[in-house]
Amino acid sequence: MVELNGLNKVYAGSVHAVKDVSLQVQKGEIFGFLGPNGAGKSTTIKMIVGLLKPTNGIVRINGVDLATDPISAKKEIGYIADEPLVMEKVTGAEYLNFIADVFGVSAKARTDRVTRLLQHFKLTNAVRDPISTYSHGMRQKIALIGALIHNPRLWILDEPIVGLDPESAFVLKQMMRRHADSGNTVFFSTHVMEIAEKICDRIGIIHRGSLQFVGSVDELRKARGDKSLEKLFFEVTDSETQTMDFSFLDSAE
Amino acid sequence: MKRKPWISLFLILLNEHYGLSKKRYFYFEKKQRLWEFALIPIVIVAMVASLAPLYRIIMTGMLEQYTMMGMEALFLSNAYMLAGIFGFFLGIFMIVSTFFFSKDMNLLSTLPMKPWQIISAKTCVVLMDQMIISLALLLPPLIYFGVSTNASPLYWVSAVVVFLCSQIFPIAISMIVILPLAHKIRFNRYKDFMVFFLATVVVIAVLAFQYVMMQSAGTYETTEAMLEAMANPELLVNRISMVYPPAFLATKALTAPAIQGLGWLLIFLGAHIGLFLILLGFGNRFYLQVYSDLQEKYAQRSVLKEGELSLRFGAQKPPITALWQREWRYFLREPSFAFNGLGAVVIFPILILVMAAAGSRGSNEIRALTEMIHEFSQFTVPIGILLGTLPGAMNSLSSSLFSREGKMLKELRVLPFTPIQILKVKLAQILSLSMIGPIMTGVAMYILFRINFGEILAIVFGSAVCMTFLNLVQVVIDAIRPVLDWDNPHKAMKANLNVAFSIPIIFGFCFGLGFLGFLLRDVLPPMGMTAILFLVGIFGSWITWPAVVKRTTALFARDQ
Repeated sequence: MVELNGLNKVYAGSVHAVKDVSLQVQKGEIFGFLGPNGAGKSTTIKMIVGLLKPTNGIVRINGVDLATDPISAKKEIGYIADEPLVMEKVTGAEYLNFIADVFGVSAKARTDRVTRLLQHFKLTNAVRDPISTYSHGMRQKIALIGALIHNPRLWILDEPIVGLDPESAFVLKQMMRRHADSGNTVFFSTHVMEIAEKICDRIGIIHRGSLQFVGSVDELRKARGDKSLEKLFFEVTDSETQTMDFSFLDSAE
Repeated sequence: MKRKPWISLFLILLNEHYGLSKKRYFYFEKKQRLWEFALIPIVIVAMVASLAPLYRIIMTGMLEQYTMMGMEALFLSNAYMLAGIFGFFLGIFMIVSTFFFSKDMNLLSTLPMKPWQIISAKTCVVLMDQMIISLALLLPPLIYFGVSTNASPLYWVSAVVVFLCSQIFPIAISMIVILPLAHKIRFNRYKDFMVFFLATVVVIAVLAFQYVMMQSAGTYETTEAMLEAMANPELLVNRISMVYPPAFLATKALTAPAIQGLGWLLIFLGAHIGLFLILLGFGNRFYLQVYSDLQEKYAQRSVLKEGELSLRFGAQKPPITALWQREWRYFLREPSFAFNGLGAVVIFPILILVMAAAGSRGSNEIRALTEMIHEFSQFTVPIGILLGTLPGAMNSLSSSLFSREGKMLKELRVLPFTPIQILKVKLAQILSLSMIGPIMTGVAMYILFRINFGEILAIVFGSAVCMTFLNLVQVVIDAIRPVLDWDNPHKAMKANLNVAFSIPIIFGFCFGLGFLGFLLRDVLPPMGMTAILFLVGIFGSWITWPAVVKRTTALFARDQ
């Protein structure tokens, strides 16, 4: 479970990137975190995983306060960043072993789990090679396997689908659903409205640092009318997309 | 295989830092670039073989002099202090890059690890790097002293401990100073620039402090004072403690009689362990907070004024000018490049200037050195050319010309320029920077020898042509195999093998021609030497240019 209470992030004393964000994501739930670029999604996620320190407010992971007991809280999390955070000069196997060592995963458990995950993501034959030889998608996959190797109860995924091929994206979505159905929590951000609509139990829309909406897609439709999630998203975030004039693209020079 | 988290962290950081798995994969599995693997030991052997005789002569002379004065302990303290000062100067940027701007921290700070675990593992990796300084500056004197004085077994034990601990002090002090300062100052914008600036200020402050202390420790107003110091070598060693305390402890541990020596060794060891613990304590207190502060990416955006867009985009520049500006921006806005590049270009001439300024009233050693150069005053111009060539060529700029691009080389390749246009712009940029070396050397030679304007010009232009030749050779080296996959910009310059390959070439050129000139001083007039240096520079550049063009073209045509 993730609990954010009055979370704020002020950069340089004046730029209020995240404003009083409070929400709870329960066990058994897939929560989609949506928002335009620069809305505060990544800042919020970085505060949840301990990369950034909140200016004020509380982050609790399965009841553990991240500020007072960061080690216990981090042990509960499997985190995927918007850019794959992997060391490039080591091999896939060395990277996964390192993460497994840090999380104290037994030799047997890591072998079983890594074998399955590598098969699912079709990465088995690349695991001996340095990560620098991987494509972007392969790096995303190895980062995913690293995040899941210790079987964390909470998955925090920052745009996890970006770079994945359709098959791997499908596998990941299935895994997210299964993880939540087993009583765990998935908190992920995405710009793809179709994915959010299909797999999220609830969504949160953040705009200019403030949460504008938290609830299910059905609840959003009830409040704003029966439209596609894309259109509803534009409404909530005051987008000017519908009125934009693109005729300048046709000019000669 | 399951390992303890700290050991696993240390091993993977080491692996990542030196790219061990990647090298193993390319050399032994893909069988690629095997020539490079074979070249590394050859270069090391060539460097050792070419420098060892000179090194031995210097060590023999120094130890004999100190022994005659009954001050042989100073031989060890000087070597230890030198290794420490170099460690401080060369290490501080490495520390800043590794601890604050390395991408691996984005991963490590999300893992359930304590700050002290990350700091100690990273410090050990930096220490491994820094040990190369002690390997070159401290180990040979330790061995030479032990063999020459037929030292006891305790000396050898102490020597191993002293050697292994020799880089802890500079690294720990740098971190202990930077961490609380960076936390306190809380830079708002250009944080990376400010941290490097802070590091530079710390280095300059330490060097200034040591310079002042050396002056007071090594200068004697009267002959009586000098004789008194020579009669009491202990006093001189004690003075060193003011300049560099660990050198004092190391010297005592290495030279005091058996039981006393053991006692000093334990104090030396205890002091270093204590310092390391203080570093970990500071790290626990400040490190992750400072790192987190530095990660805050934000934009203090304000609304554009009316007409500002037209002002910003309303001027068209020629494409080559745009490329030239890109080159300078990338160089100056990456603090690691700017500080390393400018530092390398100006530090040696500054040393000459300081020497020149101190020549008249400085310490005995500096006075003796300037007097020695005065003996060859008719050769001022050729000596000046070689002295000016050294900083102009040994600046890590040309040997990392393409390496500094890193992944941005792809961007460069898709721009509508030919490789030769790009090469010319890059060369123009580094040569204009490198010219600082010859110009400052010309000024220093004027202060030292009161040479005339024509001689200053000869030194500046002579250095410039020789420097150009050596820079072109280094560009060839970097174009053959640039280091492009760095995640930490520091690795593109300081930890770049191409830079290491260039060093023996530059030293070989300057000291080789210098030695040749010394041998021919009775048969070849200064004017002849000057003419030969000009010819070597011009002819060398002329024959190297086609290789530069060929290698650059090949680099830009290569699949990436």
